[in-house]
Amino acid sequence: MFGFRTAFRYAFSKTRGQRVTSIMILVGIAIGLIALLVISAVMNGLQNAQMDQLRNLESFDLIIKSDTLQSEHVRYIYGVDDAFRFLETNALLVDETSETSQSIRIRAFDGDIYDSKRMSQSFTVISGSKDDMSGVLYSYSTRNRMGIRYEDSIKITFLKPGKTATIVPYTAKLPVSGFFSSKMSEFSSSTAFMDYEKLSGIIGSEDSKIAVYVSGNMKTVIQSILALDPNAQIITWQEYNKALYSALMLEKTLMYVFLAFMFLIICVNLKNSTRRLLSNKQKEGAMLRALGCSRKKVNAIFLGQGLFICIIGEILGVILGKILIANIQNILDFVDSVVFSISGQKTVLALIPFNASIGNVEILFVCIFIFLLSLMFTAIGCRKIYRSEIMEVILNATY
Amino acid sequence: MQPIELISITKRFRTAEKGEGEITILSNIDLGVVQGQSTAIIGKSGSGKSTLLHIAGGLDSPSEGKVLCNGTDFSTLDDRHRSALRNLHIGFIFQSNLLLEDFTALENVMAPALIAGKKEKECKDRAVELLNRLGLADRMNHIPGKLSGGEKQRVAICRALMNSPEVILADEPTGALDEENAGEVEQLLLDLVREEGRSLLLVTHNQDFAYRCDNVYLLKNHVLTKEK
Repeated sequence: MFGFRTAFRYAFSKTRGQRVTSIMILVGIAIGLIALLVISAVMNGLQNAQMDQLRNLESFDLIIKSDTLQSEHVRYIYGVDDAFRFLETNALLVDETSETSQSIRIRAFDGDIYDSKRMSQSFTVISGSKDDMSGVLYSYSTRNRMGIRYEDSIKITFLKPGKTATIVPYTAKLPVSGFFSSKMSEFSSSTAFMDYEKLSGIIGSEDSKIAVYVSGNMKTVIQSILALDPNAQIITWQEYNKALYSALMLEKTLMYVFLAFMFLIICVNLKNSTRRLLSNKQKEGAMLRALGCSRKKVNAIFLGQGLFICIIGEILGVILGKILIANIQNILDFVDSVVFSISGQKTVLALIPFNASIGNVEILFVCIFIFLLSLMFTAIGCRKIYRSEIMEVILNATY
Repeated sequence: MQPIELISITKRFRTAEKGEGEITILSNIDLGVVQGQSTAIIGKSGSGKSTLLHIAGGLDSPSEGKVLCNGTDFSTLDDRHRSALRNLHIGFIFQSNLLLEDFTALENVMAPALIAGKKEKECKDRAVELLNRLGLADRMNHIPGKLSGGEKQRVAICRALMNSPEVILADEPTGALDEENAGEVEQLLLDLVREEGRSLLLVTHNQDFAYRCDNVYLLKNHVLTKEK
């Protein structure tokens, strides 16, 4: 109890500007923590948005190739949000007016997948209707590039299984039934949609797969699918987007390297401020030892002092950091409007809406790391000071 | 058994200047502090009186020789046991009083007992009793910065007595006080020895004070000689 009380008293002592030093350190820790949390949250937000769109549109959570399974079987597995059969093939679009052509991936879904929650988050039909699948639904970027219009008939060359050859070209003129937009520009520029029955009529349904949205545990869901059909081939979204996923992971690793540099700055700050706190009180520490406190007890008092400051700084940092993260879009909008009012130009900040997010585990990890750093530097400082004889410290103390 | 016994104590310091090696401050000193008696060490400034007192209290280590506290050699103890021994058996009074500046007079006096792990209520009662006895009843809740030199020194004496130690080590206890305050503190220390049977090892420049003690030693040329 004496140690605890002394530690608290020393942390906010009025003598020798100790309180001001403590508050400066506390604010330093809080600001460092806010910076770490906000940067981490913003980067996470951007990456999560990218990954969510990949999973919603491009690859789904799982893709199953099975001869026996139906989408209904999969849909009722615990942890599965939605499941639907789909076909996918590459084709060549030919615009006879402009004599331009473009390769495109055509997807066809069996069912009302366009209305599913996950798909509708990233995919919007702008003109035409998703219920009218008599023709092909193109993206706005394809429309702009190819100069196609609503209800135009576009010549499309498919590759379909032949009777004698393995694959043969098959050309059909199909009307434009509408236009869509998605949050993934690469997806939009390379993909078109058409009716499942119509596409399977052209290329056959042998290559049909089941797309699955998973809300539960991915591993458990995969095990359940394999229990239904041990021969099913399952591709996860990470495998499907291996190159992009690897790039995102590399980006994340680099982000952590960048954050490690910030940690380093916090380290130097902590080391210097801890040293100052200790040197302010080294004479008192030696006096406590003269009164009968063991070296361990004195160290514990100074560790306590450092930890009080660190914990208060961390609490402050986490609260302010969370408030900032929750309001990041408003802050960016505000910065944008200030820049606009000064320069008359919009910044890029307001153009990219995203949800900054950070998990409690990440916050805990950062806090524990700073906490341990604080503990380590105080312990090192104490060791250096109290290695000397008591009177040596008392007589040579700066204060 | 003597509460403090110094056997063949030698203390050398390494000099800051390169090539000068070490200088000897104390050479082969033997001294026993007798139970219930006061002992004074006199000598010129820089003769090593304070160093000898610090070595006697385990605040500094000798280069050679050993210090026995109640028969236990300080050098054989680890830091925890040495601290406990210092806490319970020795009371220190420093020249510059060395009070904990963030604590009130009462808390300063309570500190050695709280460090020893005694109950707060018990510590407070004893500290209040000591402060009352030394005329500091109305200054208990003042921090050292608000106390006069004499009051600080009396608080330091109360603190030294808190754990009822067998021996009190005092380094120039009246050095920073005016004549009136110095006289009071001298009388107080000598009364403690006489009335409570404690031992006092004192370092002072004040010859009058020194010769009121039971034993007087002169430290000169690194050697201790008995004067009284």
